[in-house]
Amino acid sequence: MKKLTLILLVGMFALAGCRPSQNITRIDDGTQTDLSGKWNDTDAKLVAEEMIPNALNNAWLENFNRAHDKPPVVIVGRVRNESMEHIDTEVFTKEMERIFVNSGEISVVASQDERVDIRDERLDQQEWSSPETTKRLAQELGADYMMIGNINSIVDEAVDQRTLTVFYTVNLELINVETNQKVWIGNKRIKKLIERRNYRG
Amino acid sequence: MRTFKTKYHLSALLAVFIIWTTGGCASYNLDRAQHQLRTNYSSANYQSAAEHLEKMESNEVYKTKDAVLLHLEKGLVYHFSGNYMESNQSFETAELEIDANFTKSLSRGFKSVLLNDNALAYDGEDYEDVYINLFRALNYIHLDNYDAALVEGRKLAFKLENIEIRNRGLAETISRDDSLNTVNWQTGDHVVENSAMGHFLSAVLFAKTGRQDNARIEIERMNRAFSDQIKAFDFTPLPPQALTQINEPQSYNVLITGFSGRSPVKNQNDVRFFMDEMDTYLKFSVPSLQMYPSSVNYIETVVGDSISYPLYLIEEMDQVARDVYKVKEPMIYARALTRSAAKAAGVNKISNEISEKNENLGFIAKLLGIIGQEVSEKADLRSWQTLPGKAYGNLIRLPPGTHTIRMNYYSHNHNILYSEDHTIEVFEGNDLALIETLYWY
Repeated sequence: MKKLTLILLVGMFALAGCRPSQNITRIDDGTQTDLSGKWNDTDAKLVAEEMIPNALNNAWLENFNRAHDKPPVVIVGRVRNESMEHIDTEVFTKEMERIFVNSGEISVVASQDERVDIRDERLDQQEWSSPETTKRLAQELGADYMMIGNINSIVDEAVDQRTLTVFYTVNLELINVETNQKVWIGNKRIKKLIERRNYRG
Repeated sequence: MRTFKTKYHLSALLAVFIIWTTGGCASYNLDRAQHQLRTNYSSANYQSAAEHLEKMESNEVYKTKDAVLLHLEKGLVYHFSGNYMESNQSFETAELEIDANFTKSLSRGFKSVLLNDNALAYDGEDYEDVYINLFRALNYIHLDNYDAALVEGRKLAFKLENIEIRNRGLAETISRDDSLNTVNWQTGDHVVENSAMGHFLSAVLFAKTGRQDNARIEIERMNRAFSDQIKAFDFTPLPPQALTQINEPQSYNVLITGFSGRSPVKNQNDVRFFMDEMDTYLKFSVPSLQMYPSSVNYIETVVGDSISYPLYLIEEMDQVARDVYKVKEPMIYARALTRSAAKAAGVNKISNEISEKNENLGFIAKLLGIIGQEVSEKADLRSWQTLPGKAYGNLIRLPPGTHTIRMNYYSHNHNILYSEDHTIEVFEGNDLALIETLYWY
């Protein structure tokens, strides 16, 4: 019995001293990895997967194509983070830009922040580039539509703090720059249930 | 067989002795590191305080179990030294560690039974968790990132709401179980961890970003927190005209915050006695709280050379720390006494059994046991050392342009204890400039 107690004691201390060493493995970028319960790449992907086809296969694009013989020009504006987490909304807005451009059905122009650098470069060219390669001023493509949106979250935590639900709602809107008309509204909801254990070894 | 038993007993005692002495000594290193941190911080030498923390971290004086404490200290040291990005990173780590510590480690719990409470992970008090978001929000305002500041404002509001729900639930449960109605279990008596400063900052951020309804709720909660503070300790109510403009965001464009004083320190009290009749030595160590009353009576802001604005005392974190500790004190004392008694009984039993076979060896075993008890019994003195004691604030409106602002900290005799000058740029529109000072006395 005493021997068993000693073995148990040593065992417990050995356990207490053990720390997992760092282990890194390359995994497929499509693998779902929920580590903390916070907004992550899987959520951003879910939003992009649902919102992009929805935006591309909607009546606004057909209507525009019918009235014009060129693809609509879209600028991606600000997606406000109104949640309780620091979320980089560019992860899915950039994905959206990529698919819009590659589809050939929508033209995308640089965003407000990107434009500053490009305009600086153009101004710089006026002074320093050779005349035949200097790009002209005031030739920018004006956007027909602007995409804006927001992410909201509602968090509900049990009194014992063991269970938590997070409900995210992502809204994206495409607005006609000339008329302020909203031509498309997309929405994606994600709900997570996070359960925490009381003890670990 | 008998020799084997004696050897077994002696080896077991030796093993426990080594664990006791090594485990006990490590806790003293952390105490010394924390003391040095206070010394550097009190002379407003934040750079040296940051370097000290980084050195202690690399020397592993702060162990994994102390990660929350380390990052709370680092977060605040970086904050007051103006390294807002680094401060945010440290506070984020502290928040994640607090979250991870929700799942208690069985092995650490077992270690704490054998050693002392220092073996347990420092998981932060609720009010400390709230202050993470408060200082992060201030960091983001300093960095002109209002969206991110608002994220912290929302987290602040959420955490405070949950603390209130938990405390209200606790009070209601106790009230239900107290069939004799011995005490009037008012919720307010237990909401010591409500943070008026947290609600104030959330309300300002909500109001400034056009979320008047959220701001209104936070103002109501802030007023409730003021009432809680008045009930819980001798908090002076704010004058009726104070902070009434929060939900009129056009009426202010400068947020002024001032911190003074310091949080309490824990000291170790050792109790030793020898019970003759049982031939047993007992030692237990418990912490006691030492308050550092602030020498600051009030703070005033002077714009240019003429106009002055008062700063209102919004929260007394030192009092909150004291009240939270008082709630936990009986549990800490009981745990220390039980552990100490168990150690003494263990040492007694083993040394007596050895004595039966070999008196000299029995004496050595007893001596080792007593030394082990002496070294391993150690009060848990860990607490957020760099947290100030009092928080003041006000909101003012200044015309666009550059302004020189002087923050004057006054004593009870109305003498200026400390002054700090700031130059701020106020822009047209709905921006919010921030001035923040700390006088740690």
